[in-house]
Amino acid sequence: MSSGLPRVGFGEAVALLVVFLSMKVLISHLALIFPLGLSASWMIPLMHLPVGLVGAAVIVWLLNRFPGRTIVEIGEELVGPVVNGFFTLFYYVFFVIFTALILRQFAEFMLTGFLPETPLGVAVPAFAAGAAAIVFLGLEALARTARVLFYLLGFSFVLLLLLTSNLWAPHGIMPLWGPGVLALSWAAFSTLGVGVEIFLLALLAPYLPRGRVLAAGLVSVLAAGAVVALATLVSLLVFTYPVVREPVLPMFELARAVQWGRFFVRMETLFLPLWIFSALIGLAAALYICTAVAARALKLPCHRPLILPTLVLILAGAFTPPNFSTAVEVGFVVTAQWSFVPLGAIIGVLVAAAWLRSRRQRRE
Amino acid sequence: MRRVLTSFVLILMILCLPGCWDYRELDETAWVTAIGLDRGRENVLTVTLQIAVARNIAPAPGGGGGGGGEGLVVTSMEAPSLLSALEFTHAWIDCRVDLSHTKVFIVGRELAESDFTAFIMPLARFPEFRPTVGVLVANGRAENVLREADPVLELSPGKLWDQMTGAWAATEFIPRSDFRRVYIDTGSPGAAGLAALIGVEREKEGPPDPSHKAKGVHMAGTIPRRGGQKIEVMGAAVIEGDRMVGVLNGDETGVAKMVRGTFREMIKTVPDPRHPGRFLTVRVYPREPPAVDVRIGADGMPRVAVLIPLEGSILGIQSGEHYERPERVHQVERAVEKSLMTDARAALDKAQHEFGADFFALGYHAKQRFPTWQAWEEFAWDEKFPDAEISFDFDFKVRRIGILRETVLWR
Repeated sequence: MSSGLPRVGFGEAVALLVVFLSMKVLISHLALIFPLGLSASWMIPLMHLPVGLVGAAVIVWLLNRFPGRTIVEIGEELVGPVVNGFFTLFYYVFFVIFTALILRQFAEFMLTGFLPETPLGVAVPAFAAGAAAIVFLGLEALARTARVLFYLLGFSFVLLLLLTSNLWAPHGIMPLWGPGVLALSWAAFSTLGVGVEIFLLALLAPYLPRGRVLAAGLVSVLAAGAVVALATLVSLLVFTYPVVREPVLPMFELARAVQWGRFFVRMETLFLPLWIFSALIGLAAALYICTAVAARALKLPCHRPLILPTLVLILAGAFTPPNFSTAVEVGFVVTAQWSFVPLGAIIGVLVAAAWLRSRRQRRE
Repeated sequence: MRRVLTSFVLILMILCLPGCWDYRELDETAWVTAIGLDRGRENVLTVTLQIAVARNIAPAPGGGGGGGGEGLVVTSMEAPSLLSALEFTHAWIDCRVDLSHTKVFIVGRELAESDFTAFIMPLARFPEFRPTVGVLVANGRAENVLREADPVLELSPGKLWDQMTGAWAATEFIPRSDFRRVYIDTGSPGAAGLAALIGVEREKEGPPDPSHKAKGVHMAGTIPRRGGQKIEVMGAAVIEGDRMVGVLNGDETGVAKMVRGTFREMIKTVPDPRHPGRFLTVRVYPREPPAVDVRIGADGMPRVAVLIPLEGSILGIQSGEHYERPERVHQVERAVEKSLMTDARAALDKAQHEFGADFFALGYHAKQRFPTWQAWEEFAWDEKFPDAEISFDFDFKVRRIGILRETVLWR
């Protein structure tokens, strides 16, 4: 661990953000996208992209006006401690729920796919402990872990998609416009929350090389959009619509479907690291957001004392859904569907306040 | 000291993570290699499991065959559902039954004709069951097929099933019918599923009739043969909606594979155009993927033109006629195309008029003509298919002539 302020390189930030933004494809996110976009579901991530790029640019514009500060300190300066207190509370509660639901889904994935007789009470704490260990080691450890594993994860992801190429059926994405352009646009709009993970950038910015924050945000959003679009497209090509609606874990089903002759079957175990490492990095990033936001709001010099209490809340949240399907449905509604409304509103308020303030300053 | 302690605790945690919950000894597991499902006698279903006896099929030390003894156990039970039958088996099988190495799933014809999907498709939800499992329909009872399925050329029953279902790539008359494909075809509008047909060797020989009959007129359970293993795979069962609607013989299956693009090779024997009673034998391969053109007429009916480009080599000319000459090769090409057209007409007639089921999967091409899913569903392809105007065209080119340049006439 380094002394003083952590330093996060451009590549490390991009790796961390891309994994964090796109890990959702490994769990049940796609399963709930297909009923919205039908055979054109692969277009939804592409339709998200312009909004995601603009959103990232807006956040970076805000961050650049207050160099060296995170969204928490910026909020306090722009709207005062009371209003910002509510904003921060919202960030914290939202990301605790977000982490809890993602944690539950990854744990359920392990039980469904590999360890059917292992109790949930073992799988959930195992993932949580891994994420907590990374967050305890700090932001630098998290970012470097993401960077080191990024190539392995990227290679595994591309390999998995390519290994299904002998199963691709072009009719899977036909009719081309799925539910129609209007319904498709509404599906894209109502799932804009898929990009809320970009909020991590608002906490990373002070530790990134100056002048590279915008590039890190845009590259990450572009790469993550490509990952989600590719995963959606290949799932459609392999399972075809409407059958693609059925699997609760579409990417895992892709891994199970791989078949090249008699010997290259049962490949899902080969791709297990893709799920495990993505889960650990993604969960650690989400836990870091919770603890860093709380530490900054409470003006603590270090986020570590908050890891354990936050983890307790997350574990409680992870065990709250009575079953996997509730965790999946609630997870989608909370994280992907409407989360962009409150978060977007808060960012909008901060951006408006910053703009008004700069206008006032210019007048003076 | 603190670091050593931390490392020790972390290693201990890692060792604990796998736990014992999913621990399973290989020799305490009953590996099911094939499952059979029939209409039940004393309950809803008769479930038959073919279980490999691992110690008897493992190579003996120093090479050679298995450890001796029976390599298979076949057990049947009456049960309300397949998955409850798996639990049921623990009453008399002393190992934990596991489906993760199951190679084929066989459905008896009677059950398939009445209720194919209700009993088979729920398996897609069961994690042990793999989408790569072969789905076959027994021309009779699945239980009988599994009781007779004893490997002759193989030691391992798993390899037997791999080889038999994998023969789709070496012949026209076995469709590619893994669970994933059948599941997609039966779950999607615009296609009917094709499952390979399996049967037990026929008990009685047919009446004497030494006239020429194409090999493709047969199907599993009717192949005129003696010797070899007791089971045979040939032809296909057509699954439309939730049940099987009929069977295809070998030639009809071949045409369906050509249109679907899963055809790899076949040996075709066709009448010699100049010498009645004599035959030409050619090996046929696909030259390009089939070209399927679907148009929707002004009357709202689909018009489909299918062009199947093929190529191949001459393997035998009974008459000794010099068809291998460049200027006469086209005569062989036309003869093969004519024979394939006959098969295609028979298959199309079955599809449109007998079954009313699009086992060519032409609907997958048709849906490209529709901009939205609603428009495609409203078009109701499956209802319009029987009245669609469909034409087949074969374009066969001879590429090679075997290892003879010409045949010297016998004296």
